Amino acid sequence: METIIKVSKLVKRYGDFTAVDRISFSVAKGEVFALLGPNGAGKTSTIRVLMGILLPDEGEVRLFGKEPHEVRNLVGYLPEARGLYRGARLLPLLTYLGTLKGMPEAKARASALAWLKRFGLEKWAKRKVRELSHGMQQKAQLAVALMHDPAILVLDEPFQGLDPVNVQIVKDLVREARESGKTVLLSSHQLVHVEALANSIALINRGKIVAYGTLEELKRRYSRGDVALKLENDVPLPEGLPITKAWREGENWHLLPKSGTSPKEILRLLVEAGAPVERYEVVYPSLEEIFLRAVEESGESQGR
Amino acid sequence: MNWQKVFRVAVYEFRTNVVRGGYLFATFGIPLLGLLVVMVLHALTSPSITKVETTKVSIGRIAVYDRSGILPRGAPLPRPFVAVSDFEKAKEETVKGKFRALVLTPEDYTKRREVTVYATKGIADLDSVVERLGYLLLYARLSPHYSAAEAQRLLQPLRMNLVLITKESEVSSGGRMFTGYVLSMIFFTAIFISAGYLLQSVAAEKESHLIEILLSSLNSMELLWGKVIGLAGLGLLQVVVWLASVWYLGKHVSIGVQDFEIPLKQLMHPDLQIIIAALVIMPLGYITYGLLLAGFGALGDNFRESQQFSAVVSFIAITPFMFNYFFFMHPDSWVVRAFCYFPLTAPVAVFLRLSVESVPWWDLGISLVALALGAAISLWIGVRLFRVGVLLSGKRPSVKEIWKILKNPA
Repeated sequence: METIIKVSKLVKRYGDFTAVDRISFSVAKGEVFALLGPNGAGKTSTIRVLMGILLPDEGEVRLFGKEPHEVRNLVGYLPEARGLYRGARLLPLLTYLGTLKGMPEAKARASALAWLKRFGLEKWAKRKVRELSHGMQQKAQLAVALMHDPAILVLDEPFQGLDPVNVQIVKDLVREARESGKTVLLSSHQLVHVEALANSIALINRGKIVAYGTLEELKRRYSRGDVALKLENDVPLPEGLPITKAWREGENWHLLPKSGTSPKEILRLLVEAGAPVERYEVVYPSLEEIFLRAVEESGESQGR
Repeated sequence: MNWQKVFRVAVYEFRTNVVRGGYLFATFGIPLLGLLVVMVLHALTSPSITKVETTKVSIGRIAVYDRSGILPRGAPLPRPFVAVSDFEKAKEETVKGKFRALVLTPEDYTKRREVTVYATKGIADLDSVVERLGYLLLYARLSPHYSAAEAQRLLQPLRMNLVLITKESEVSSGGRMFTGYVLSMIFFTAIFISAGYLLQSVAAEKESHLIEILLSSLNSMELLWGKVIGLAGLGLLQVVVWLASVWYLGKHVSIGVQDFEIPLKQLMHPDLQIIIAALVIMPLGYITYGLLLAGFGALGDNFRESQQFSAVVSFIAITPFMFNYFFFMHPDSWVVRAFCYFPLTAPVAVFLRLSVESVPWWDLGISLVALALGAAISLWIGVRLFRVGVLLSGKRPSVKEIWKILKNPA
């Protein structure tokens, strides 16, 4: 698969503070890549270097094999800190921003109108930005990122401050972009939204990548073999199972097997003990749990 | 540098700001107000010319030393003018108070159309002399020596130098005062209005957080130059409109409003030094102030903070106005020269000084070179502060941090 984004040993410092510390990752064409981590982890600095807004102190960033500033027109960007000129009229402003991405004025205007129509904002095209609601402004900013049909879409904290309806719009747009062969890089600290979208993920903490891989890989790597099960008629859990911890979650039991014990082994022992198992499933960790475990493993949680 | 993107930014900035109410008022409203004021003055002064003449005679006699030969020889001049044949003696008598002023029409008056007025006091007397000179010229025009058309052409002193004389010294000043002062106000106002819009534009982008979207499309230099060029166009349009208005007033008002006639005509034919200074000071002054305001403006989190950063620059720039006394009474003093050689005060100071006297060319050259150096330094500082400042948010940088940015803006 063709590599579209390649980041190698990137370092970004602000004075004595190292915001990004030798991180490397690559994103293939058509992939949705998520850069996840808490606030202040270094996600936005990484993205700003990717966008050519900041220069790296060390390392290399390549988009389509080129320096970021050489391919600015191929990238659509929704920054974390976003907004539009409050006193400007919507359509002329979007047209202007489109022309800055290399579009001819007429084409930029037509594209801006098409996106405003898609977001139900066509009636607001001649209004001033300050007259739009917060949600409308968010949609208009998405239109700015998309109107020049970029090959790469970079969304920094795209779900921040959005209501559920707009969250769904963003998710749909990301899926649509992926299906049309665009490459998407998104960052978020709201891990729950990303799980359903990302093909591959880099978890970043204090400027360092603490886990990196596809979602499946990460789930397997950080799985402790937890199982969830339900026994018929609320029968108690048989004794002598090789588990370190067991607790009830409603009608279900949640078991944490001892190290080296597989979920299959637990199931076999339950059946042998004659437990009436109604439902049994291996529980993979959520992204949040993966993140916490990855941070713990990397020893970075100390002092936080 | 992608000049196409620079052009896009410039056009957007121009289009956006040219329709602002404040700009429209400043550019078109002020000249209209000026016209209104002149019309009112015209209405008030025209019917009472005769009355003014009789009451103003009491200011004293005005000696005329005519080297040009444009005034009729041998015949007495109309009051309050007195023809004199000994220039030095007449000057001494002017100092002693025998004459209110001494008018010298030089030999080359027909070529340069410039007279020099020696007086012991400043602007107030100049006004009186200007007014009376009008009557003198009217008298000459009626004389049989010249055809009406010839007299009309010769007898318009388009430039008038004022020399303030005392027992100890004489300080050259000028009828150019009006020209220099008006031009300094026009250029200074246009420069600061444009630079102010530059500051507002930068602050608005930071405040609205649009800056990151812009910087993902073009680099900070392209953005900054686009703004600088677009808003320079705004300033240029303003200057053109104002100068055109002044030209229109000068052309049409001269018929009726006597007090404005000569100064306005002088404004239409400015001194060469003033023209050169205007051509150099306008762009360099704009770059000096504009880039500093944009740079420091970028350090603020919103318009109010940006204004606080830039207030220092603005305050320094207008300081020469607070030292008017030195400019008018001691235009060659070290205080005045210091203002003229310091880049942040030079744009205002040079015009103020030129409005009082002709300065040696080398002296003017030092001021303009200093301003060019200042513009280069402003460019260096402004660009560095802008590049980093636009991405700063949430905290105001300390002086130490600003120094760090200047040393290492990457």
